[in-house]
Amino acid sequence: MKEYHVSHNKMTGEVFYDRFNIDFLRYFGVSSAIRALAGSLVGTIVYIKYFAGFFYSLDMSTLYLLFLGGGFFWFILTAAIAYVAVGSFEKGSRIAGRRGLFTFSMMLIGGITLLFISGIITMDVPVYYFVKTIMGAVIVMSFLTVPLDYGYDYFKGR
Amino acid sequence: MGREGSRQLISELKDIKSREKVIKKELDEIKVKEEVLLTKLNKDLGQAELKSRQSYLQVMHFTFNDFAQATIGSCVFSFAPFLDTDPWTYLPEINTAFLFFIHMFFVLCVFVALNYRFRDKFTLDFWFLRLLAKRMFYLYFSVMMVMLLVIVLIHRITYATTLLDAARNLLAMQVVGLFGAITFSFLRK
Repeated sequence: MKEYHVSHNKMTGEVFYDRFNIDFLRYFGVSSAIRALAGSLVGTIVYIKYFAGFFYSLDMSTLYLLFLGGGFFWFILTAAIAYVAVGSFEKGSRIAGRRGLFTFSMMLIGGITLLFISGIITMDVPVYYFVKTIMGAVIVMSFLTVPLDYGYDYFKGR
Repeated sequence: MGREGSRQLISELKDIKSREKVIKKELDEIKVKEEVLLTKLNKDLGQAELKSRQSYLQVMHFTFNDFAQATIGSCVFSFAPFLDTDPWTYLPEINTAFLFFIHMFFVLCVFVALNYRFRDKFTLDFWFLRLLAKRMFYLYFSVMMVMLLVIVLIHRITYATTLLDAARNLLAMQVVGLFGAITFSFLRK
């Protein structure tokens, strides 16, 4: 007989039966938000210190390609993991999309706040400069935020 | 006490018995009424519970249909800035802090309308609010995606625009989109 991982949603009272533990994708709690925020703050500092020059040297279309391609890869990876666990493409995509949206929001909030505080971005800069900075910062901070947020939840268990 | 006394007692007893009958009849009628009322009450309570469960299930999942409704609603309402260019002429004169305040006020209005859409009443419930806040977050970002596209399409945000102007234009447009999304969410109800 197959063994399923039983997952309880404490907020709504729902019960899910997964093939293996994907609680790190299903739930986004306060601790996940804090870790994502911490990862994005450190990521932004790393971006400002080491990578800002490199990303400014890239042209906009390359940056768009990196940003959207990275996001798509991230989504496909998490959706595939969720799909194997729940056995439904629709449910898997929904879980991955929802989880990614929350982490992405945290990255945006953390990144924009720190970029404003550091004075790299002000309200008077052109949108071109803002978009370029944010996209570069998000690419760098995702390398720190994803392991901190998803990875920690996965190894520690929810 | 003679015969007269016992006759009086018997007539009093008869009187009491007849009154007892009347009271019993009234009591029976009251019991029937009580049963009818209890049945009605149970039915109403059951319906209320069913309704709250339905609204809970509806608000819990932001389905593709909900997303489509939100985006179509915001698209339809965003025809206004396409057709009427007047607001863009007096928008720069409005103070940014005031614009932000107005934006937040309308977001609050949309939140209350969203609560009414699911619960059919304006009173707030703390437990329900948590789910509603999550839904509001989804709705806000869905509308923002559409509004960003629209605003770029009508050249109110270009690469040369300053961040302040872009943010002001987006704040103004976002409210219109949110109104569209919430209006369309009532259509399928």
